[in-house]
Amino acid sequence: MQRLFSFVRIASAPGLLLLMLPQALMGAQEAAATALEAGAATAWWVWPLALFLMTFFMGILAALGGVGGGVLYVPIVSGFFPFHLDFVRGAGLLVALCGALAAGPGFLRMNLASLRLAMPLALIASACAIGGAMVGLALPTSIVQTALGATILGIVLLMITARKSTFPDVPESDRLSSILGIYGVYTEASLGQTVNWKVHRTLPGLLLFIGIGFAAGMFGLGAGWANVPVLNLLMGAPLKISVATSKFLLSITDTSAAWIYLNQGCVIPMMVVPSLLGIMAGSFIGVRILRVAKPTFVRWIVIAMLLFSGAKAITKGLDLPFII
Amino acid sequence: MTDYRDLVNPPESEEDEELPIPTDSEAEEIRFLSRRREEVAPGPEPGESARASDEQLLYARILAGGMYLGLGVLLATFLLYLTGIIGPAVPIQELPNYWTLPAHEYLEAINHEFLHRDGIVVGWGWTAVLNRGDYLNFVGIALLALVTVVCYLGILPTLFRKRDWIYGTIAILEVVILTLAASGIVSAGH
Repeated sequence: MQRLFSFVRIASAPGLLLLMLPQALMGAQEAAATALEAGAATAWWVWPLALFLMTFFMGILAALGGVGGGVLYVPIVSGFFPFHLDFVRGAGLLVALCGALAAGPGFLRMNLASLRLAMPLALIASACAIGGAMVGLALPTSIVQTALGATILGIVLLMITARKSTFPDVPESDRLSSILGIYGVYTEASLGQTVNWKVHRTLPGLLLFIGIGFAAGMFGLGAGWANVPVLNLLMGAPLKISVATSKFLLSITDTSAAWIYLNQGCVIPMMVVPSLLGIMAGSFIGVRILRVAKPTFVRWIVIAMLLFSGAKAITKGLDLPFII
Repeated sequence: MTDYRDLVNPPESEEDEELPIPTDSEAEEIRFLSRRREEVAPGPEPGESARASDEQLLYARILAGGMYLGLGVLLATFLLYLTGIIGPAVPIQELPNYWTLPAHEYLEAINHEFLHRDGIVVGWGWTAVLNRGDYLNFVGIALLALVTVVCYLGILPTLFRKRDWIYGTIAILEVVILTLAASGIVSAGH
């Protein structure tokens, strides 16, 4: 009973804190607005500190819930912090990029991320991410905010309904993947043996990455939420290969979009650095909690957060009152 | 008719017996079917190593080194900025007055209030104001954003040495795309 209590406490504490934080932030926002009206100014360090704490818990949840930090960062920060959406998207891309840079080398060395699988997809996605970033910066903020909210709710639906296939059945490679030589071998630690894998439906996968790259650039989101279903369910890559390759892919896709935002001056170091530190510290802790936490429970916390943030983004974009 | 799969991948026998030595014609058939199997269903050979390829390991090495360098520089410059050792363009306590603005308005406001330059700082213009603590942080950010380009350039010789023309071409195209994005030629804004 004590172990059960400890487990529930460990698994739920970060999620519950994160659930309470937006309410606290909304309260702080209202208090800050009131203080401003009264002539006082919020201390400059309040929001960067809050950002660090928020991204710290995001990092924990991202590690436990199997999502990237980017998909949490933009909707939550844009919904509950005073920073303009331009800077939130710039910071979000850099946060997702750094997460991918940190994870990429390990996955590549373990042969869980496949360079041959990633490179053709990244070429398509990175080119389209540039287009998405340009469109996102050119459109009025309200339209982007509303579209962001709708996309986040779509991601929630995908997370709820999408199945996962640990070892998809791929009878044989299609012609395109045969020409490109997209196949591999990796060591499945849980089974203690090597697993051969190959993919199919390569052309549909490439075409889907057009949209994935565009959305990543437009909204400043990491694209892991879309990469994994396409790689795993459509193209038939094993789940571990899909997750690792997706994480590595972000380092390429987000680089091109990040440069567009950087060149447009959409980067404030006082936002970026606390966010990076928070996410990386949180991921570090999250990986260690992973042994005792129940990822499924945390995943539902993440879904709830995204639902909340998506609704907030839509109401903000449409200038409607936020009911919750 | 002999199933080619049995010839190429003979089933394991539970009995401990010697495998028969193929005749010349059978050996020729095995070589033909191996090539045919590669054409029909390419993939890793049974027992193939799970070791990553040379270019993948090289990419990982460059990626790790670049990531640590970029993060290290970013943290160091942020400390210089936060402590005020290198004074910022925008006083830190003034930031809340500006970070609510759209990017273009933000850049115009801080140029008007603090920088007093002929034009707003966009593209690679931050390299001209590295004596300001906030813009000095862009060095680390740029390093992190350049790592991927360096990785692709690093694996090009390996790809061409292996005569992997398709992936060599993909790598070159990716370098072009990322360089285009980094150059500032492609622009957008409200």
